[in-house]
Amino acid sequence: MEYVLETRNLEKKYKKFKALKNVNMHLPKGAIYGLIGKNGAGKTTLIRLICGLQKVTNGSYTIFGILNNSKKINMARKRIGAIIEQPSICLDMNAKDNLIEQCKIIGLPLNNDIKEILKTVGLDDVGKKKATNFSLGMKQRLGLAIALVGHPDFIILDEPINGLDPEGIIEIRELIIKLNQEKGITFLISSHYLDELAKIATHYGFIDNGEIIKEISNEELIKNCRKRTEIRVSDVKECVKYLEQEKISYEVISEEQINIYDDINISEFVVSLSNRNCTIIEFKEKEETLENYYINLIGGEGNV
Amino acid sequence: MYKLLNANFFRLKKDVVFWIFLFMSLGIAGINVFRYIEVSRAFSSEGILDDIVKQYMLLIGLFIAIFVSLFIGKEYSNGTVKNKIIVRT
Repeated sequence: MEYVLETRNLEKKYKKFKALKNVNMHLPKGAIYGLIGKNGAGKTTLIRLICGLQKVTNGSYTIFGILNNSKKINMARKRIGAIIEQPSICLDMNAKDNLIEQCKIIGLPLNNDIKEILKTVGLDDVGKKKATNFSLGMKQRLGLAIALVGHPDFIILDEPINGLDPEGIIEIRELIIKLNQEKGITFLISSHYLDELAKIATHYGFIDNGEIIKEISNEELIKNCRKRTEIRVSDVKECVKYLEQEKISYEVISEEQINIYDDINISEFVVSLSNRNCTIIEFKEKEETLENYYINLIGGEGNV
Repeated sequence: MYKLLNANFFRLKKDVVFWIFLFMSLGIAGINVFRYIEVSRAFSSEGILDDIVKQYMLLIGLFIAIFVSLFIGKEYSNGTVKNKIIVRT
């Protein structure tokens, strides 16, 4: 698999405090990678290291296959667009001038790209209005527009929907999906809004206390969070025989527990097992969300 | 480096405070020239030019100090300096 970003035992120390410990992260090309973690977990530190705003203490990372201490790393960073903590925009200038300035920083000729980018983010009709008079959503979209200058292949967004109203959240979400699907841009998004992230992310990385504790794809997550009926029975073999007979999908978890993934007729199920001398000890339906999964994961580590 | 300077000159051109300070400096320079002409006509003293230039330099120095700290500081407070570091380091 081709990775846009790969970190190997990445470590960042502030004097004696370790902000990042042995971070191993794999971001596949074309993915929308959701970086999830509580405040102070190390999300922004990790992003700042990748963007070159801070130096790595130990370990290494590659961007588009180029190692961080290689001389060519700045060439790789030119293919990155980023919004870190807050949109980096000049408030005294209008949207178009902000993009012109970014073009000049990168060294790109001024052409129709600016109009196209403004149209993409929906800021083509703001005219000469200064960025200071923009709403938070508009500022966020302008930040994204600046990140889009130079046709990046990889965009890093740190808390892109913080403080946005529901409409602004939908706008940003749709924009990210559009850019990912139409232009094939890879995204790394850190966010606390798990439900929002669950709507767009294709991969997840869970970070806690400076460590990536789990990396999982959306398919795996859906599989893990699948709606299921958890039952504990006295005789698993008899129960399995019944489930096989009725062609119901299931998974044996332990000598007592079975997870059933299909809808079942409960009264018929209870009667049938009773006829087979199998007692149901416990019966519960479960459907996990990303939030539950996250809490279980972090809580499971004894951190909550 | 040239690209960064180019971008900053572009921002400078768009900065209203820069134009206000520039015109104020030009205005004060003009006033000083008139002062010099008036005083030299009245007293024909040679030391006056030095005094006027010194006063003007002091004022310009103050203007530049205020303006540059605001202009450069704005890059940090807006976070736009990050755009430059990411692309150019």
